[in-house]
Amino acid sequence: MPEARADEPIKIGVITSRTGVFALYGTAGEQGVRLAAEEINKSGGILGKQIELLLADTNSKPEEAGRLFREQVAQGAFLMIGNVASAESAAASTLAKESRIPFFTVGGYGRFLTEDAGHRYFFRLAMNVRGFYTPLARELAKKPLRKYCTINNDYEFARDLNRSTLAVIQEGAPDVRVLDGCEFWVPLGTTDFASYITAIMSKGPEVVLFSGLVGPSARAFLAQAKSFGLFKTVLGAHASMGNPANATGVREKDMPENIFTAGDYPYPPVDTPSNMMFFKSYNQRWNALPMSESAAGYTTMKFIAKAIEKAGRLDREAFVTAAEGLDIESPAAGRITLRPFDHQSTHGVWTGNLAWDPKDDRAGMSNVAFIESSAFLPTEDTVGKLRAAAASR
Amino acid sequence: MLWLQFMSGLQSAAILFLLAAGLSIIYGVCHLLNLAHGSFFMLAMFLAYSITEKFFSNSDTGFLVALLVVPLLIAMLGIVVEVLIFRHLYQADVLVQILPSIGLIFLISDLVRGVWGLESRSIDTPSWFSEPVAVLGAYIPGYYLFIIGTGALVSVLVWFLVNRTPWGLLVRATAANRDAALGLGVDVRWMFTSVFGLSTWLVGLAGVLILPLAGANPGSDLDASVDAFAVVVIGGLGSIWGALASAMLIGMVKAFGILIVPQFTIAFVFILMAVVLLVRPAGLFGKLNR
Repeated sequence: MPEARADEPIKIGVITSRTGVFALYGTAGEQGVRLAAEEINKSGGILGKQIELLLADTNSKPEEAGRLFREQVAQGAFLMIGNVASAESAAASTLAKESRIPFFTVGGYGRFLTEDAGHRYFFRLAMNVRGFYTPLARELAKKPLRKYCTINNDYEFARDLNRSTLAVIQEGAPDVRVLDGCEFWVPLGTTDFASYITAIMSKGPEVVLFSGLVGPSARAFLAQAKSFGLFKTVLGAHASMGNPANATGVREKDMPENIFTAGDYPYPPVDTPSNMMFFKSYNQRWNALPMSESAAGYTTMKFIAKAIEKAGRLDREAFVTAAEGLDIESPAAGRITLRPFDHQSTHGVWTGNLAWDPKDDRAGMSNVAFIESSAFLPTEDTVGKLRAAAASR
Repeated sequence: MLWLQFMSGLQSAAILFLLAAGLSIIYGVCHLLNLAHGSFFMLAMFLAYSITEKFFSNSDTGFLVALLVVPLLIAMLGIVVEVLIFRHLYQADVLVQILPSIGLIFLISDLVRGVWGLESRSIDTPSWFSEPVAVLGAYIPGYYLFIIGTGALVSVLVWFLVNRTPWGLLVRATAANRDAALGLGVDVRWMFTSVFGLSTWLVGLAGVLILPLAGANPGSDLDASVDAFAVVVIGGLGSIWGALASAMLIGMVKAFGILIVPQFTIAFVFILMAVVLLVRPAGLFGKLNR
């Protein structure tokens, strides 16, 4: 690869679901990346060079993510960042592996990305989805509740999430079962839940698991469940309402009391100096409240700068080696390290109850507990086995 | 419990009817497919959000004002769009008609993104309807009954307008044979404009009504259009009563399908569409070769 001249900026490719179903998540991530890049450029850039972000919109489509990946690499991107969900991240990951271009996912939580399908050129500073469901499922298993209904948006990430959550619950409580005919898959964007809720009520579950309802669907489901009084007698469990984008538009009056959840950027914002500083500058820059993806995008860009500085030159192999085991201050989750063997960060998770956060005027969490990533991330051994199994398939 | 399922299906049907009726009327009278129908729906939701939340700090009065004002605003917009754009295209080829409505979809979608951003917006259910009401032994949220009631009332109103007023007579005449109506001195221009106004008023009303339950989302425009087209195709293009029957059918098939065979939820509407079109290619109430 030709060395860049001193006066040439470092180009970093940034593909974002700025439109389409994941627009809210993608846009938050892109804003985090841009804020960090602006801060880095203001304080002198990386290796004395300014960062130039190549920005493009994937429209939430994996094939677009792949096309833009190639396009931005052809335009001279040193590495790639994806403010995109898991399916798009998977498409980009394949290309990253083939072309040996490092790719960082900001919005892809999928387990398989760093596990079964992980490789030398794929990175994730954001949390692994295991953080959302593992502590939550273990807590659920401890409760004397056995009859479950599930309702989720119908897409691969949600299917995997639902399957994995139930598997962890059943490890702790083997007699937990999903009631007959009480497993619902609704298209992304669905907002009419009346008939689902009345059907759930007629089956009489003790727990309703709806982790895979995202965005508009999650909000609409909560509001309609509240109007039918579903969660007056039934416990609700959603693995990621503490991911702020999942709870946008949820209104104070629509908040059921009885929802157990987890999140990687909880509201009210975590009261640490680094998070308060991030919260303030993000809010000033974008006139918006930061979300999980904002923090992840910000951390990712800062991490990339640190790793390039450590490598000391613009060389992709040297970059990967420098990045392995490197640590970075995440706004809310404290100091996190990129695990050398699977390129997954040690970002932890918060569990708690869905609750109203009056100060920020939005849905947040109460009874919050922080759980370190060691409680849910797979060991080096497990990752090795998963990859070996995937390779032999 | 079957009764509760029936009522939830009825609520879905009421919204589907209000959403799709306008699309069908426009086609029936003006022979125009307005692909941007769902865009008016989405815009109504965001406008209702702003009026209720910003001007009336989310009070019940705000909802009432939105319910009365927003459909009128949407109807006015519909009239403006008809006068500026569609009026000039009635004689044109279908493809030529469709292009500006696609343009309208992008325009309204970007407008919504620019003004309201990407987040879901919603308003509180009016406090008058916060308590469930016992109907034949099942507790049904008051607001669902309000939606069902409004849907029924509007159906009657539309029936009255079309069947019992001089305006309705002209609408039926124009729909039956435009050239003959024109020859008999019907002012077709004004007729089409008023039909557009009524249609967009209906879809605006649907948007405001569903807002507290569904929330306003950028992207709901296309979902709404797809739903509306499904209703209209099953009911028969151009037939209001087809739209009503089809909305009821879809609402019930979904409600009971979800209860009985939940694994096929996603396919219900398409299976229904396939069956209806196989048996009656023009839809339930549609006519071929018009």
